[in-house]
Amino acid sequence: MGERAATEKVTPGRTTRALFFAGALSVLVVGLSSSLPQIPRKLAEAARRSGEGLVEAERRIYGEHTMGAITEARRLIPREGAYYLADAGAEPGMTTWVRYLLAPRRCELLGTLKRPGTLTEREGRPARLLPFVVITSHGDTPVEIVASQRFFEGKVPFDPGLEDTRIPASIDGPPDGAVVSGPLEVRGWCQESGGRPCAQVRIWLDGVETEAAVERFPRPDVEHAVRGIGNADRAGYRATLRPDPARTRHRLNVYFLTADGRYRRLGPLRFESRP
Amino acid sequence: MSSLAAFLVRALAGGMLFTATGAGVATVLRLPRRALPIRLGWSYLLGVAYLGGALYATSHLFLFPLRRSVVLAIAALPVAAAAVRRRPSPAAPSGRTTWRAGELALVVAAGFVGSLMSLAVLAEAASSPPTDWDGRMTWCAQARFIRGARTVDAPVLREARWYVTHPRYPVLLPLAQVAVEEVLDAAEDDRVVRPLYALFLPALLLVVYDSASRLAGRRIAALWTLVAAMTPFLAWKNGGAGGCYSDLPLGCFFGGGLAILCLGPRRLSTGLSGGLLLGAGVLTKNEGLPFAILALGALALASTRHARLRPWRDPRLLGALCVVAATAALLFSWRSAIPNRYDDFFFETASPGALASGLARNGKEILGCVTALMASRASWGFLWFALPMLAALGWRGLLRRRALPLWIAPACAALVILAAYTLVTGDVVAFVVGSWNRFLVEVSIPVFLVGAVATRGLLCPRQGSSERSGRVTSGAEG
Repeated sequence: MGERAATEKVTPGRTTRALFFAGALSVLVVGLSSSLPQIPRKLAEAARRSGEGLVEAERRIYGEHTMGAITEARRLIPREGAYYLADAGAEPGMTTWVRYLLAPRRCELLGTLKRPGTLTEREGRPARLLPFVVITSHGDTPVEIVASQRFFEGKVPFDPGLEDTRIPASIDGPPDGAVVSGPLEVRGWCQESGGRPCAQVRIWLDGVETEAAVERFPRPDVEHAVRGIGNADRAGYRATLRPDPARTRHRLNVYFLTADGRYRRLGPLRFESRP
Repeated sequence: MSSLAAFLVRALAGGMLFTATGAGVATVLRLPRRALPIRLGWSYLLGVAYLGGALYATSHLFLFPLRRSVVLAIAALPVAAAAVRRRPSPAAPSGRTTWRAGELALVVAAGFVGSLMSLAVLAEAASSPPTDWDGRMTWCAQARFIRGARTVDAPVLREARWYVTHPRYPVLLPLAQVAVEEVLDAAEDDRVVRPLYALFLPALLLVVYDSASRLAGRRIAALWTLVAAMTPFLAWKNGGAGGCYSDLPLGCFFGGGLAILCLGPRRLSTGLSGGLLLGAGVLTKNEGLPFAILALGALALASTRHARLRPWRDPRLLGALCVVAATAALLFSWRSAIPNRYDDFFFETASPGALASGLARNGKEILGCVTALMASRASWGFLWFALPMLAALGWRGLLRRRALPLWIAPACAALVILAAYTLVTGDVVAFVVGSWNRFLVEVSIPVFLVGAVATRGLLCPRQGSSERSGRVTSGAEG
């Protein structure tokens, strides 16, 4: 009896099987009806495009103007060479596509509008210039190539190192868009986690690095508010600037440099000065 | 149309490089021989895993330049070894040779639909350069940098000055791209390399059919292969075969490795081949290593629970563990010289407190978002409606020893991913929308196999002596 029970095969009822197969059939029919029509469409599209050369394909995807600039950049910059890349407000992804299209040429990113607090106008110029800057932007010329000498014209040598936007920092004053009169106090804080103050705080006003002394002081409020920041005895900074009286509109950038060759830039802050 | 044919021939030529290499690997590792189409699927995966991994190691450890001669020499090694080997691989157990009513029609239908879908995906891939985000940002860009420098330790990756997004992402697929371009002597025309990604779709379908037929029989296997072939996200979307994302390749390596280790004989060669695929996953994406660890853990658990076999005495586990450990060591060694930059960091530090507060902060949004994504018929059809019902009704099948790791490993992976979501600072919905569907692609093979096992559990809930006596029924092995 036990042996018969052990060998007896238990199968689900007919109703269960019928329900299962009905459900499976309806799922398959729905799936087939949505998937199969895609196949001839995709094959037709592929057949239409297979006559394209690579140049035509790239023009179709990126546009005539972009590929014209890319072709020129490919001619000017050797495959084993390098260039600067700057994003002046291009559509999302354009800077990335330009980097891909110009690879294996290496690029150094000068800055982008897309991430808050990163530069659009680089202060100073690198000590050793790469020959060209490729600029992506919005509008009729999405990609432009400029000789580095022209791009950095008039700028003094300043190489802060590798940009790292994760360095905790802040400009507490002046606020963006402020209207000031007389001397201007720039203040804020910068410190890496674990109690490592930024090695240098360098302030650029209207494209020129200020000679005003930057005072460092404790910021216990920062130590209390920012988890993991550590001892903030040198986190605070302030400097008093005297804006050029010949100008009313000013641009302020603050660079926070670490001891190991990284930096973060905050700005540009724009403000007006009145007599 | 003749131009399209020419593109397809060129696309397949790249695929043949890996398939031929993988066939040699399968012979050397004495994997059971199966029907030709199924062998092609496994060979493709093994070929990409072996050739990509070997190029990674020889370039990083031995400074071999990435040139055509080196690629061909490395690809030829297993082919030559297989030719020299006298003993052929054992034939797979043939099972039942007669076909039940409707079984042949279902298998033919699955083959027909799968072939058509694969052809359409391949044709699209072969005729247009990449237009997807990840492909242009990371994988294809890295391939160009690596090919330009002729080494996986390209200076552009190692020097912090250069703008490279996600420079520490593993580069097995970019290396595979370089291999294809070198062998075909192609210029920077990524229409040559896009098919590399598209060919993972037919490989996935063949792996699903083969593994499901061993678990649940040919009819159920054909049914689930049809489901897989008709899943829109796998075929058309970025993250599937529609672009140059690495999610589908990782899914094939993870799922294929898990299937080999669950279903293969308890031999060292099984462990080495399963480990080769899991190791390829480690070198494909960051998620590959946690997936491999979960897979091995799930296998160890199943082994201990059912067979009372100590995990360290299971040659499959030992073989797989050795290969995975070696690939992890290679990855860490390669990565250690690359300074991280231009990489996103979305998470606050994990701790029980952070998880609890994250759950309170993000839990409802995450659940809503995940549910909406899985319920999307445009992406997944009825898969996520049907699977829970089948699992509930056919739960007996899921408790079988060979089936346990197939749902434990992806379930644990899902829990880890969901826990990570709770730690996201910022827009968690955008993060989930950008990543959850791709995670589902990465665990798709075990998901389809679980569906097959649950279906068998529903339709054949209990088989008495037929199973205990080892008699094979319905083409399923136990």
